[in-house]
Amino acid sequence: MGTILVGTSGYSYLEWVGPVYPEGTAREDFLARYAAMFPTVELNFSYYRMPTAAQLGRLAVEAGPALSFSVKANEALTHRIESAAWKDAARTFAAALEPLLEAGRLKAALLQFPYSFHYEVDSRRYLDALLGELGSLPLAVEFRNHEWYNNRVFDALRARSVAVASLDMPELRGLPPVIDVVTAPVAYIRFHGRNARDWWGSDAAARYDYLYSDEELEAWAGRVRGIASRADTVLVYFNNHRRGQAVRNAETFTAILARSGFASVDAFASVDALSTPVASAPADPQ
Amino acid sequence: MSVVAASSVVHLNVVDFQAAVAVAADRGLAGRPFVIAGAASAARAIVLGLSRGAREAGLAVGMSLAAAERHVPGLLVMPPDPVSCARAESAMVRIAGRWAPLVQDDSGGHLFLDLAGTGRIFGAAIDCAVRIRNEMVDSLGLEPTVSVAANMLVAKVAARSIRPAGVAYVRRGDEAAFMSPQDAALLPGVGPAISRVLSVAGIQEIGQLASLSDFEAVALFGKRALALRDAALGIDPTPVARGGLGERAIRRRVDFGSDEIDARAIRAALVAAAEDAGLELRRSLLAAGRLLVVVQYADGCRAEASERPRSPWVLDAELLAAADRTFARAATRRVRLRALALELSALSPARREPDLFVPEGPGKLARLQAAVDRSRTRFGPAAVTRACAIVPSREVFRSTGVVSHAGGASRTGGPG
Repeated sequence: MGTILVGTSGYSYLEWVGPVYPEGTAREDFLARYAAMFPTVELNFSYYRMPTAAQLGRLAVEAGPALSFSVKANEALTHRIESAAWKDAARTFAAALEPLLEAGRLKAALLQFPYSFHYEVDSRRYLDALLGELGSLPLAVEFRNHEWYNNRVFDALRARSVAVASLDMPELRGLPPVIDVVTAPVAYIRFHGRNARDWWGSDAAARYDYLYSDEELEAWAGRVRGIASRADTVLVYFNNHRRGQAVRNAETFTAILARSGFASVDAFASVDALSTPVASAPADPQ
Repeated sequence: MSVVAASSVVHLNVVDFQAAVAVAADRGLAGRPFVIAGAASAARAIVLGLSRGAREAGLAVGMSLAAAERHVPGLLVMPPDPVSCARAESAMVRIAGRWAPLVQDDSGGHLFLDLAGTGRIFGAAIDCAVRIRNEMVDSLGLEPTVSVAANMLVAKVAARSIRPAGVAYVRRGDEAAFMSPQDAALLPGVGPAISRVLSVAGIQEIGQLASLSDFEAVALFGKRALALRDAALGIDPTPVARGGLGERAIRRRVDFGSDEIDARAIRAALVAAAEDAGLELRRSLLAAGRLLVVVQYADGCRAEASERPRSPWVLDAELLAAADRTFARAATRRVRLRALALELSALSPARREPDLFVPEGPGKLARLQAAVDRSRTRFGPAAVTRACAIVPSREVFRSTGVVSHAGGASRTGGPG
């Protein structure tokens, strides 16, 4: 049975001050606070801004020794692909992750492709080349276009030891099918929320505004069990970040997994941890 | 894009069932390449089942054991264990039956469940299906793939796309979109004959098959092509049936508008019934061990006859020939018919993926003749002949009638 790590997609949300971080917590202290709650985090800022090795190295220090990272690939590799520039972007991205990789704290690099990334010959060639370019990293891919969810892609990812992300989304036609297939030593699960009403035509904040019920998470424990039986490490990230709901759900899910007898669940999320002051927390609320 | 009613047909499929049962009984076999076959000493033993390791080593069900052992030196050979397999299957059905009101047991570790109407009690179908899987893992040591879809055909393709393990859920209404990028070989009903046509036509994905126009489909596959195209679109009206294969049958009935005595009209009805039943048989990846024909006379009398094959029927040609023979024994009176019915029973899993139908083209005899002619052209006129033409003499007759000599005693000529 593989080790299960539960965390959230991103940690640096100002609106988490209050519901998640104590009032007055300074932004530079978010990560240390977060690291006291969860064993892993998925970094999202790297999608908008190409990360640097120095930056990620600093984060690793700030977080303390226990927190592991997954890093979302920059948009230049997934959403705004330029044929003349993507290789340089891939090398820059891989170089930025070196400190985490060398410290054994990089769990995965996530390549999240948009709906517009179709299962076409050029896209397949690009993906093959990109996976080759980033071959030194543990990789996971998330496809938003259903066309990629087929047996040939699963076989190809398996041959390259690249994980295909399992997704939790609303019950809406046209979204990718629900697929749990283990194709690599690392398995990757993303909870996007089930806000069907705001999924289309809203901004990201509204789209991911959802709080999973305990029953919905209980049901997921059974699926994680099947995944963990075939993977060495299972990474679980909650992306329903609005108002800190991701944190509440990640805590609940951790507790459910522990209750379900997952001895290998590596988590120390607790309400106590949320209220425990960290050394660098400001003395006065701001 | 809208919220949709949940899919409720669940397919649980233990891949390489016989090997999985063997591993469940002896965990030491896990990860080892091994095959299930008859007695190793039997010269003509064939591989009946294999482990994943053996499959990855290039072995396949149906190959000769000798060839498998040549391919994988030191290959572990296990005898078939039908008792343990039957026991495991019954246990799977028992577990599924605690959750699903309707369980269809297709044998060999294949179950279909219909969870419609159970949502308020057991939650979403996918969650319920995962609970069933986990219970099977805990109590039987068997891990089936889990797929959920709106119908059995799509659930089957979904399971095939993720095997050997995993979970797949296809939303109702997304069937065609899900099926489209899958390998055409995953579509039930694509056997060797249809595969050949697909290959010639350059069709690799189910979506390419689904996008054929009526004209193109019929031109490629003949008059039954539209059934194949419907399947490619994820259309399958077959309901989940209750029980195991032994309890199930495929039935077709024809009621004549007015009492019928015209032999051609009656035969046309019989052929239509047999072809339609055959289509369902192959779509379900089954073979039939019994064919029953019932005739209802205009005077109210009823008669029936049945036939069992030496090896189970799969193809239309076999079913039609049997239907003709059986009908001739059932309908012995010179009285108008009001109705006739045909039933296929004693169902069993088809050994190999059967073609949904045999694509139209040169008839079997014509193809056989062409193959014989090619062999004769290449290897000489005596290379292939009918057994009845073999004579004790070492002399053979050419079709021209000139006596010549060949390595083996045979006689060539026209079809005998």
